[in-house]
Amino acid sequence: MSVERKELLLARGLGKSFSERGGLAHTVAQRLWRLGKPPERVYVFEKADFTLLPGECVALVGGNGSGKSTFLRCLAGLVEPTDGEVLRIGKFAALLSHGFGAYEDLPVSDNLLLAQQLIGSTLKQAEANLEKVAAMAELTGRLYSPTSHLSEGMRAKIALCALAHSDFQVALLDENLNYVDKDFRDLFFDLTRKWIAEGRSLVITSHDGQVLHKFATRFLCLRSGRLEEMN
Amino acid sequence: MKRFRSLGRPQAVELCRSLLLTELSLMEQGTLLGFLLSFANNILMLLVFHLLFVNRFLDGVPNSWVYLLLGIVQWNLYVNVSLAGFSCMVYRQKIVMGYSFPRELLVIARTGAVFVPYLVELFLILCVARYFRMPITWKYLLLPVMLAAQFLFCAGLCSLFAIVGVLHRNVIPFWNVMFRLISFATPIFYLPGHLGPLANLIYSWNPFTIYMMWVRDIVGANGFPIHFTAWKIAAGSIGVFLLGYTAFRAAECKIGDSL
Repeated sequence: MSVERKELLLARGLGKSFSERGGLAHTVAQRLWRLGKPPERVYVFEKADFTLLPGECVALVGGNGSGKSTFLRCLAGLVEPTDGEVLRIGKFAALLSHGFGAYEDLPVSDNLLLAQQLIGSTLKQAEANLEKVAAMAELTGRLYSPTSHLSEGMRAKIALCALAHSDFQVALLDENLNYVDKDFRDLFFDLTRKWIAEGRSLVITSHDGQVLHKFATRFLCLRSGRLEEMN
Repeated sequence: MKRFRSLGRPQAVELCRSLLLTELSLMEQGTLLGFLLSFANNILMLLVFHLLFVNRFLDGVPNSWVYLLLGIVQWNLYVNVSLAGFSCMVYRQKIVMGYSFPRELLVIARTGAVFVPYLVELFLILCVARYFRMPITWKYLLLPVMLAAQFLFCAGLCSLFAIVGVLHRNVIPFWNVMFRLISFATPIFYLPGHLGPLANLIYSWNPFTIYMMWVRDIVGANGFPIHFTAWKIAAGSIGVFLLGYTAFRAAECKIGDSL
């Protein structure tokens, strides 16, 4: 697969299927019974072509279980696509599965330093930005309290603030905006416009296309396993 | 190969260090009391083993309690490595599935988190051995080589256990039984030299025995010679590490599917 223009992300013929048999729930007898038969596979999506150019914000919409998160995970390289391939160029930051706060017993500050490093900042940058991220997420005073005290909304907000202080070229966000309040969402929209102007790119998923309407430059929809361009 | 080389980049090293420090701060609740209690566990095992086995199996071995204590600490390291390996992807699922980063760094960090308390315990044993005037010989120069080789061996094992912990969880009970059997086939509280030539051959190829006897040889509490030279053990350790790394990389995307 060759890069023709200045694509930051290129996927061709992408497909992801899961085997219906296998897994821990199946007994040895069940496995033996089906031995030799071809595995039944269920496609989440297939034959998906996707290109991301600098300065694009792609909104990926679709209902529950349509495969948005799986598609994003394939793009991020967290799961292997069954068909097709993905070419990634540039500095990636993936915020998937609301990953902030993996270490529940640790203070927010420790998780925040680690989260910033996991999305590509150096330790020095992470330490320098710690207070700024905390201020942006309105965390002041709670930076050293246990992470387990945080709500889902606060976690999503902190993760997005950490992203705002990193120097990514491509960011993949999985429904992170669904959890934050309106004021923060507006702030994030302004930031996104700035990033797009700088030539940075984003792919954001949501159930609600209206949320992303204010800043997305392109809309894609995953419906019945097909990736479709929307007007 | 490119990915392997990227692990040496400053940012990857820094991330690995941060993950290691985070894992360490969670161990034993991150307190001195927690560490002391876990070391007390070794002392308790030493007392029990001493009462039960020293007269029977270690009669005439110089500094038998150092021999025994080193065996216990070494074995606990392997137990902790297997536990860390099985749990490292599952317990850190939020990180593994939430961010795009080289996941092998997490495995290395978990191995390191198990290795650091082992180093402290080993240091304490060496201090006590010195207090009881056990001589320091030139073999102590091999200690860093032994530790580096053993870390690579443990990291390789941890990588393999990490795959099993996600993709083949149903074999963990089987492994527990096997591990118990291996513990009896490892000279923790007895001398393998007392056994026949066939048993000795088996012991000499058991990697857990090799490290256990090597560290005892270095400290001067050996009762049985090691069959391999240092460079051969180091080469074997690098082999185990590369095997674990390669297997982990090959299974990484399937890990993503299963989590």
